[in-house]
Amino acid sequence: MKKTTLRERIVRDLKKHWDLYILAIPMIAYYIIFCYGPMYGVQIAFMDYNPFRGMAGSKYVGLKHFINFFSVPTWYEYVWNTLRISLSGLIFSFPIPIVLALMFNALPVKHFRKLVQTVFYMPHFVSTVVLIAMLKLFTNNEIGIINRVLTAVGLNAVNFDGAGAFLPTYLISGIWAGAGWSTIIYTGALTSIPTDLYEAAMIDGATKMQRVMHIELPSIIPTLSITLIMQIGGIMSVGHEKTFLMQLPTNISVSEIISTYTYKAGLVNSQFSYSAAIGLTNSIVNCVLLIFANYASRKMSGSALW
Amino acid sequence: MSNNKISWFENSKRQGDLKFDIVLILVIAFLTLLFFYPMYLVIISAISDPNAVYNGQVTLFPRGWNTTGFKQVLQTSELWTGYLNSGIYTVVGTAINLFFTMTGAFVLSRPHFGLKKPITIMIVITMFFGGGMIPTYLLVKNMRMLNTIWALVMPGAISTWNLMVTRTFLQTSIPEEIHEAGEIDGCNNLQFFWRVVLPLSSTIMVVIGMFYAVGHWNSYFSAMLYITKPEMYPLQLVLRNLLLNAEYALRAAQEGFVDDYNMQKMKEMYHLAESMKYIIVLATVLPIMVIFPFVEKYFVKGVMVGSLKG
Repeated sequence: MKKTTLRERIVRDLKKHWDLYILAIPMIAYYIIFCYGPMYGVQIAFMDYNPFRGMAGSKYVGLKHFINFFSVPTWYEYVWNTLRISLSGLIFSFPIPIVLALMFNALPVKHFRKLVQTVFYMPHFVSTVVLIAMLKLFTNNEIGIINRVLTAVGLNAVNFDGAGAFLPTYLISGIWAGAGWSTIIYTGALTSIPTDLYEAAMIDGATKMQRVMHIELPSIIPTLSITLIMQIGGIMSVGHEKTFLMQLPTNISVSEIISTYTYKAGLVNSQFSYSAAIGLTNSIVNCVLLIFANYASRKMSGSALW
Repeated sequence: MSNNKISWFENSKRQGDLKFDIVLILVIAFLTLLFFYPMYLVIISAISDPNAVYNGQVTLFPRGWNTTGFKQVLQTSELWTGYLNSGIYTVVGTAINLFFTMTGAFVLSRPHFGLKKPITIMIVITMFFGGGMIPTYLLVKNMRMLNTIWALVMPGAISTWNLMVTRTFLQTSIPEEIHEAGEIDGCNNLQFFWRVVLPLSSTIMVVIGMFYAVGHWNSYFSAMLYITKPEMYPLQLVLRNLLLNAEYALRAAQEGFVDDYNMQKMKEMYHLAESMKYIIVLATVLPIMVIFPFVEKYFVKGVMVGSLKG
């Protein structure tokens, strides 16, 4: 390999392949403007940003907004609400696509399997707005189908508006919308298992259950680890879109999460700097979590994102 | 694992798996019906008589017809503006997405591109750390993009995941020999891109184009952030507002804010409002149910290619 400096390589390349660099301009410009631009703008978290005077005309105030956020006990609620949602998601929603993928893979009839998968994939494409609309239609306390069925069989109706119902409805609607689609990643790993593994197992007299547990489950562990890392890394960033649509005065104590609070503080109340400070804290925590989760995964199972 | 020559039943029996398979099929069949029920319920509720729906008579089968509901919905002009706007945003947005993503992926797929490493690092960093909602909003505002289509299509012009998937596709599907042959014929990179790479990439362009398009069609939050003029609202935002209004009306009725005098009339209106919600939801769900089975394989393939990255 020739030992040339990056600069020498670029200059030589530039002359020969100048048009390649032209083609690269849109992509580079996009990332610089729309990804690094906001990163540059994050410094308003350290100022008393005045939108009319811009950054140049705003006073630098250091950690004032961060201190503000943490000095009122409500920050703990937002963080706890966020964590509650993402941790329950990890415990309850994470395993479901895996189990489903294993079950789909084990179905002996090809056409039935394809039909089943189609039904399970479809909900993923329903928009958040429509998903929540359906949810509200079904969970209306008086006339929604769920309470109607419950009372018809003699059980008590559920108060879906209350704080207690928020988490289960959030999770279950999330499972309906996403579990099927998430099986694709695992299905991919399952289809690449060499068939001789199965043949060898059957010669040894393994039942189907044993084959699933000892061949298929281990083969999706790499995929599983990576998905798990990414979910752990995103623990602090529960989606604001869905939560926002599900918020009600009666459940706000559990449904106000970090991102919805950031949105309200920043864009409804125009506290730009304060909101940016919260957002920055959140980003940093996310980053740290991702790095840690990746490290832990590599140590424990050998596979990681990088 | 099905065998061509014998039925799955025979195959299972031979392998001693029959009990397992039968139980599995029954469990899956039950789960599938359960998963399908929400969409099914929306369909039958939307076409049924509003009073029947309100009274809980529509559970497994439709009852009556919903002519008034459909008429009302068809007359809601905001809905049509919403559809039109979303259509424009989706078409323009996806075109921009494809332009940025294809050029970028092509450049990243060329092995001798000098800036490949720095750019890749730059991109990976953005996957971990971002400016956040407020700084991005301020950026869009300062670029004077508020209340324009650009606020909706530019901040998301490239999805890094789609970019990487396309890059992998180009690396594995376009052999170096073609490029070398082109070089011999005096073809430069631009011509190569336009005349060779793009035609060969029709599959991946369809796949990521569809992912981008669905993203645009389903989005509401960006519009909520950046668009304040109602005539520019995309479909999802219109839906949300319509559903909110119907919801308030319904709750007002349920909590008894209506006097007896108007009760009967009001009751019918609220039944109608509820029924209209089902129709509005149907308008989104039905196209999915009809179109999706045909395009499913493209999406699934796309995810698989993306998840097997090197």
